[in-house]
Amino acid sequence: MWHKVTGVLVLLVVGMVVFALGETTVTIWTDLVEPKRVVIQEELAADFMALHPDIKVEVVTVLESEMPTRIAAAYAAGALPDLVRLSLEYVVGWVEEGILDAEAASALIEKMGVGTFGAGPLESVKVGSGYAALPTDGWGQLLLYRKDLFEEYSLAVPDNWADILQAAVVLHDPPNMYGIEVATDPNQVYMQQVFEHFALSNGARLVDEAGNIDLTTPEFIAALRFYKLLATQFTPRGNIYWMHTRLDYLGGKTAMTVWSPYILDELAGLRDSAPVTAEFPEGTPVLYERTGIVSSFAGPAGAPAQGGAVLYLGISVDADTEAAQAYAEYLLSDGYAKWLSMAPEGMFPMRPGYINVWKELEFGVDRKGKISDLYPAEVINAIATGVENIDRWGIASGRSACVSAIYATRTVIDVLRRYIDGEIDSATEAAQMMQDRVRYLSGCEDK
Amino acid sequence: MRIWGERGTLQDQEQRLAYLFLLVPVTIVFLVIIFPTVWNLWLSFHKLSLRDLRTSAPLSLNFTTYSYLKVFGDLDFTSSLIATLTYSIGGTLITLLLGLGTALLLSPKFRGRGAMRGLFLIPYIAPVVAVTFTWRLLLDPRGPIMTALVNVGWLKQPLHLLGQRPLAMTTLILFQGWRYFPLAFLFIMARLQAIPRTLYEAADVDGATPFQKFFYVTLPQLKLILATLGLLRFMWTFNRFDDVYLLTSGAAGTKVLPVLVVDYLIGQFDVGAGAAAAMVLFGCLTVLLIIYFRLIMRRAEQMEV
Repeated sequence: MWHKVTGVLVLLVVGMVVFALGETTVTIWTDLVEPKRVVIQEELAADFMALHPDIKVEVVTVLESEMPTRIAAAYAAGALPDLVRLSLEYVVGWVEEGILDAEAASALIEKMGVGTFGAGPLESVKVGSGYAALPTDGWGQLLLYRKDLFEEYSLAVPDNWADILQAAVVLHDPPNMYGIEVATDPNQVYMQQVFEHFALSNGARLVDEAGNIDLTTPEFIAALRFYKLLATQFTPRGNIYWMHTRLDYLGGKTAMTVWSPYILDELAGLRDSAPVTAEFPEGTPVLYERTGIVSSFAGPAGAPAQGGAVLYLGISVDADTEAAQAYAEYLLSDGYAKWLSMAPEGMFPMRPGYINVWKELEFGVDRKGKISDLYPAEVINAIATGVENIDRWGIASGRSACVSAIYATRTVIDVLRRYIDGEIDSATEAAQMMQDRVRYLSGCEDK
Repeated sequence: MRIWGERGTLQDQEQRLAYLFLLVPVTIVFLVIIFPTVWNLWLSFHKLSLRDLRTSAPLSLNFTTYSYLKVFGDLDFTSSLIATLTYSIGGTLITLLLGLGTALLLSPKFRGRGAMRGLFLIPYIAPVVAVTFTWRLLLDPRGPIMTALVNVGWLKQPLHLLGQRPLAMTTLILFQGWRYFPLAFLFIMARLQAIPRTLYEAADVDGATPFQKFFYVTLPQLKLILATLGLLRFMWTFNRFDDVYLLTSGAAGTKVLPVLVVDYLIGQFDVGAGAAAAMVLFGCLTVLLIIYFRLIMRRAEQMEV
């Protein structure tokens, strides 16, 4: 009997060793959860596995809003995925929390050539002498405006606060046309993104010169006032978020709104789930031809600023480093064109060498079209320059742990909403409340 | 009793067996209740970030009250506590009232009573993610309900029921009532059916009106079950996280304590403060339950006897 047991045990051990030697699994958590995008990611994994039979790739989808929660739980359980797609505001914070392996990422970036990546996106995630994660794609936030109406009323291009306000006043005619729609739903990160864009445009940064959080500057208070003005005078009531602003812009009900370039395919009528419903006389230009785009705008006290997002691929501390690096490298080189093809309008390449490939990609969901065929060169340039100039709170000043806490707790926009609703009387008071609350968050303490 | 290992008498053996059997529930209780609570208490006296969880820092003997100071000093703490209390008391009362009402409505015999009772259970058994999503769409200021109300002319401006104080909290409480009244309904109905007919017959003989019958016969009989349900609902609502988070994410004055716990843990990666906030929640609940037992349960029990 005993030798039978021993035999089985030996078999088991041998089996496990063979299994362990034969196959490594790379798990990647991705926030690109739309079915068609998942199919492309599965294909990328299959293509990679065909080239590397010893590595198995598993694609796991996680909603963007759940990513921090799931990562924190996985970290505590010691079961992090090998690779994770995450946005800029989390990257450095996650290195500080010991979730991401900056050395593995830096080594891969060195190997692929530091110069082959866009300088801005790398600079934003610099930690020590290396980089926290690999930039994969990004988008710059756009201010969409109705070029036709602007021409009709001879309004200036809305690239500064005064012209934005002027146009909103002239074109505001509810409920047929709202002057400008901004985000007002404090449950959505979108509101933080849009407001931050306005704050940055007036030179309101999160931190002061000493590196401490400072939200009480005159520039910031002016941004609060201006945002409240837009939200109360020209935006429909309610918890407005990206769904409403898109619906209204595509329906021709708002003269201006702030959105990511992801709207460009819907705008061109390539997606049936978000159709263009604005109607114009037969034979005249359609909505996307009547749309103008501004990628950065400026407030009275600031230089033109660009909001937006950069997405990264992080290698976790639990990763099988070599296999994870191999797959990350594949996604950013041989598989890169296919990766970007998931949604070219919102996924601008982070490796400049691929910009020409990107221009030839087709976008759209239900119908396909080439981005360079549908939109004029100035729109393409707006997307390209937008991504390069993206500015974000706190990132360059090393306060990204604080930024990730602000995003996750939505403290700033919660107070902002109360100010918009008139519960807080003055902008100064609102700014002080934000200041007190933000400084109280772990990670935002004075240096 | 003899020394372990010796066989001893049959009685000794049985006793030992009994302890052995007892070991199973004791282990389970220890693993799923005592250990997590003590561990949480332990963590709450440390200053820990997520990163420290993988080191030996949680085991250190350097205790600190940092986490509790952080929780009590939080500018949102008082409003959070008030929100939790409002939500729990309001939610419990409305659940009980709705449950009592429907139980009374559905206790007389009529055609289709069984089907009605089944229908009434739907809110309770439907998946929470699905119902919160549906309600959010329905209650959106530009959703069907508000559009209809504005079109009919009952409202000038659409209301944002989930986005503005104090409407958001009211909506949450109403949602709580809608979602959990079936539980109260089931309990109360079971008790209603056990009330002896003779009591009502006697009341009829005395010429009692329907209202008198309700207040002097039915209600006293239901007191204990109402008190018990109130206790359960209060406990569950006090700790409720998913409904609130899914409907409002804690915005517009609905940041209840459980949402604060998650804010510390996930938003700020402050494990110590998260644990401390959870302990505060636990402490508040314990105090409130003691008061509840003293004031209400004891009286209800006396009535029943």
